[in-house]
Amino acid sequence: MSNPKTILCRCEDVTLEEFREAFSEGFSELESLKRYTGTGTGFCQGKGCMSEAAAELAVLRNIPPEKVRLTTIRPPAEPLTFGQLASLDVPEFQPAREEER
Amino acid sequence: MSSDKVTFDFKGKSISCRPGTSVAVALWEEGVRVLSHSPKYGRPRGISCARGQCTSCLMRVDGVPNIRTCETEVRDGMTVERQDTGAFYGAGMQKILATADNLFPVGFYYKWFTRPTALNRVFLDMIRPLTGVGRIPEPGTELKADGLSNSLVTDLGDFSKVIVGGGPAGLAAAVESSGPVLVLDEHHECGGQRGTALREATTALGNRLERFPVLANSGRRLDGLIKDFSARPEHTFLGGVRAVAGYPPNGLLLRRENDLATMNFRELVWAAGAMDTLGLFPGNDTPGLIGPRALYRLLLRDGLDVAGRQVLILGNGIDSWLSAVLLAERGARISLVITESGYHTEISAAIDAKWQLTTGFKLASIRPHGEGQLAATLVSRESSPSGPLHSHLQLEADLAIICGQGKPTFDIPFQLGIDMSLQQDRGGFIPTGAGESSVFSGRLPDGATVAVVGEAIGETVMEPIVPPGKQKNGHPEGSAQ
Amino acid sequence: MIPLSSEPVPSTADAVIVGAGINGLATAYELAGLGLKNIVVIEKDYIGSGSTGRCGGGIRQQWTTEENIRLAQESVRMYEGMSAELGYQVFFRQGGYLMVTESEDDLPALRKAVELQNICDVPTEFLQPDECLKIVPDLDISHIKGATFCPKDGTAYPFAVVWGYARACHRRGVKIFIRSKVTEVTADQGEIRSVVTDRGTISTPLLINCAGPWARSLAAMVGVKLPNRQERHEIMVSESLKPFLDPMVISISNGIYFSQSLRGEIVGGIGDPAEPQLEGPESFDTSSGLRFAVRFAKALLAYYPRAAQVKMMRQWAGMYDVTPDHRPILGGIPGLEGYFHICGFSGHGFMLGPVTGRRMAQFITTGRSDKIINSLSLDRFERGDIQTDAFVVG
Repeated sequence: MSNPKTILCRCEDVTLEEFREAFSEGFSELESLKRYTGTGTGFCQGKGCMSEAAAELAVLRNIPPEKVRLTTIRPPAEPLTFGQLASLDVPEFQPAREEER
Repeated sequence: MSSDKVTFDFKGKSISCRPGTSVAVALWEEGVRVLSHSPKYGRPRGISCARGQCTSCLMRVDGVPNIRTCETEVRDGMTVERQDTGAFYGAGMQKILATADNLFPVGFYYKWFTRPTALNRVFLDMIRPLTGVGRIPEPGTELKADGLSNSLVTDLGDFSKVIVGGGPAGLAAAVESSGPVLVLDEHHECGGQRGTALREATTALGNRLERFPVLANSGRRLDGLIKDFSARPEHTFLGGVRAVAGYPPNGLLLRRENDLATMNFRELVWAAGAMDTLGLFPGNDTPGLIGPRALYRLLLRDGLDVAGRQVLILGNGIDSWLSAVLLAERGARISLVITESGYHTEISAAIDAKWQLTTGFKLASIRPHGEGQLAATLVSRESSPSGPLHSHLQLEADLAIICGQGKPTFDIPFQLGIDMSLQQDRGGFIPTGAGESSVFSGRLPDGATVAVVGEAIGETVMEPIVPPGKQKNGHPEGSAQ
Repeated sequence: MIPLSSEPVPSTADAVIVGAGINGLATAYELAGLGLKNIVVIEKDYIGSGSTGRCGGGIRQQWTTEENIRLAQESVRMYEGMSAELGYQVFFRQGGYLMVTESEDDLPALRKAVELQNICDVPTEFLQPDECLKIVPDLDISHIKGATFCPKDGTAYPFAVVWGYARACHRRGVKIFIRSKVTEVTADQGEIRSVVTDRGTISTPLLINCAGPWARSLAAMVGVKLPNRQERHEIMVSESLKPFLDPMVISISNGIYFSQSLRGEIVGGIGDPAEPQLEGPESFDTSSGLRFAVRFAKALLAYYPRAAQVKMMRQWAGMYDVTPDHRPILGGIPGLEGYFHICGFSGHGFMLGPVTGRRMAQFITTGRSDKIINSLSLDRFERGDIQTDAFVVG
C-alpha cells in the first residue's frame, strides 16, 4: 500500500505532518507558516485549507480556535487573467480612508 | 447526427462527448479520472470542487496553462493536455516522492546546498526549471487587451442593495427588504445550487417525497421563498455572475464567463453559502472523493453519467439524502455510511430502496483502488483507534461523497474589511463577534454595510439548525491518524 | 527559535533593535558578529511583516549617483554569498535588470549612467530597442526608445532573507520577540536608558531604530523629528509557471517593474502618482485597490503581451518610508548618546539593508567615521547637502 498522506494544502502539496514540523521549527503564526510551507499560497489562495490550518494551529498552540490570527486574504477571490483586468477602465483613485477626515 | 457530439483532442486521442458538459466530466466519463498530478509528491488528482476553486483539475487547454477544466465547456477541436511536466522535481522523482515521506523535510529548499556559494548556484540553476506548473502560452496566442469584449452590464447603479447568493438565505433577505435589491448568483437559476438540486429531487420523488421529510420540508420552504421573491417585481435576479473580489471601501468585482464588471454598493448581503469540506484524513485528495456541492454541479450542470456506478455517501443530513436521491434517480448504486444519528424516516426509506447501509463506522482513510476507483477504510465508531478490538471495513466505489458541514465563504467580506475568526462549530471562518447569532451586520469605514447570512455564517436556512452541542453535523469525526 | 508572544522580555540588554525586517535583523546579525552580547530585537507583528515582506525582492546597481552605485555593488556582493553566509537559501538569482524608457529625452541620462556605472566596475550596457529582444525575446519594443541592462542585478526572496538572518541571529544569541510593541523610550541626560514594551521594560544603553515606515513615530518618542513620509505601494503575484523571463524589467517612463521569481510567479508593481504621502501609522492604509490591478495589467501587457492569459493570483500593499531625497537616513544624533537610526530607504531597503546593516554595526561598535554614513546622516537636510538619484522607480 502506498504511503498514506494527509494533505492539508492540495495546491502546494503540503501534508499535515509538514505543517506540524514547520511549527516545531519556530513558525508559530499562520502568516509565517503559510509562507514557509506554502500552505494557502497556491491556486486556490487558501480556500481549501486555511480553516483547517487554523484549526490545527489552535491545537498545536493550545489556544482557542477563535484566537488564531487569520492571514490577510487578498483580492481577487479567484485568479483573473491580465487580459481580463486590462479590459476594465482604470478606476478613479480612492483616497486612503483615513485621509477623508 | 454528428452535430449532437463535440470532439476534442486529449493526448492525441479524439474524445467525443455531448455538448454543454465540462472538459473534466467528459474525461471522467471516458475513464480519465486523473486530470493532474500534485506538484511535490506527484499524487494523482481528479475532479474535486467542480467550481474552479481548487487545483485538482488544472490542465493545459488550447495552449493555455492552468485552465480549470471543471468549469470549461467542451468545444469542438479543442486540445486538452495534462501538465505532467515534472512540476517541482520531474516525473521520475515524483514517483519516488509519492511513497517517501521523510526524504524531503518541510522547507528543505531553504536548507539544502546553501554552502559553498558555487554549489548553491548550481542548486538554484537546477531547481529553477523544475518550479512552476504549466508553461506560459506561446507568443501569438495572446489576446490583445483592447480586443477583449466586456459585455457584462456595468451600469448596476440603481441598486444600492446587493445580495450575493440566490439560495434560500439570499432570497429570504431579498423578501424582507423594503427597497429594490439586486440578487446575484453564479448559478443561472433562482434558488441556488442546492435549491436547483432539491427541486429536481422533489419532482423525481413524486409521491415518495414524504418518505424523505428533510427534502420535502426544505423543498416547500424553498418554493415559498421563490414565490415570495417573484411576487416582488422591483427585485432583480442576475444569474451566471460570480463576485470575484471585494475592494474597499465598497466595491465589488463581478465576473460572467470571461467578462468583468465593477459595482459599488451601500448595502451588501453576503449570502454566498459554503464550500464543501472534505476533512483531514489519509488519502483526502484521492480522485473521486468530492463533496455534495460538487456533486450537484456535476449532475445538474454537466449531466455526469453515473448509471451503474457505485457511489459511497458518508454523512447523515440534507446533503447525504439529497445526494442519494439524485444519484439513485440516475441509476447509480448507492452505499450510505450513516455517521450520525437521526433521520429515521429517511433511513427506513433507504432500506426499502435497497440502498446499502452501514452504521456504527466512521471514515479512517481513502486510497485509490483499481482502475480509477477508490477504496474507503472505515473503523468502528465504538472502538478506539489504538484499541485491540479495532474493527475495519473496506468499501470500494467510483465516487465518494463526504457530506459534512460546509465551510462558510468569507473571502470577499474579509477583503472589504470584515474581521473574521475561526468558529469550528460553524464550520470555519465567520465574522468576529457574530457569536451565536444567525445574522452578522458590519459597517465599513465609509458607511456602507455588509451583512453575512445563511451558510456563510454557518447557518442553514433549509432546515433549522440544531443548537451547537446537540448535533455535530455530518462531518466524519476526526480521522484515525 | 522565536519566543511565542506570552514570554516576557529580558529586563536588561546591551542593545535593543526595533523592527525585524531586513534592516533590524541584518544589523543585529552584524552587531552580534562584532561581539556585542545581549541583543534584543522587538517586532510589533511578525518577522518581515513590514516593508521587507511586501517588497518585490529586486536588487540593482543601476543608479545615477556614485554613492548609490557603490552601496548597491557592495550589497550585490553580499547577496551573492548570503546563502552560504547565513546557511539558509535566500534564492538570490542574477537574471539582470532591464531598464527601459519610452522617451528619447531620457537617453542621454541613461548613457551617462552607464558610463558612471562602468567606472565603478558595474557591467551595465546601453541597448537599442531591438537589442532588448536578446534579453527578453517577447518584449513589445514598439514604445521603447532605449534601455540599459546589467546582468549582475537580481532578485532574492524577501522572506527567506529575513528568516535566514533570524536563524543566524539566533545562533549568535540574539533574542527576537514578535508581537511586541514599543510604547515608550526613556532617555536621561542625553543617553538612552530603557525601552518600554507591552511585554516589559528593557534597560539598555543602545536603541537602534529599524522600524521602517514606523521609524518616524519611534524617533518621535525620543524627540527626534524625521522628515520621512510614508507612501502606499501596491504589488501583485501571478500563477506559477515554468521559467520564461530572466531579468527584472523596469520602466523609468511609467514606473512598472516585473520579474519572474524562482517559484515561477510574475512578481511586479507599478507606482501611482495619485498616491498621497502620509505622516505616520495612524494614516497607514495597506488595503488593495482595483485601480492598481487594472493599471498594472495594462502596463504589463503593453510591454509583455504574452502574459495576456496569465492569471493574477493576489495583490497586496506595503508602505515605503520616503525621505525628501529618496536616500536612507543612517547614523546617530548629536547629543543623544545610544540612539541610532537605519531608515528612510524610500523603497530600496531590501536591496541596501545587508550593506547598511554591516556598515552601521561597525560604526556603532567602533565609532569610526564612515564616509557613506556621514553623507547619509539626518543633518544633511539642514546642511542642504542633498543629492537626488534620477532612477527612483516603482
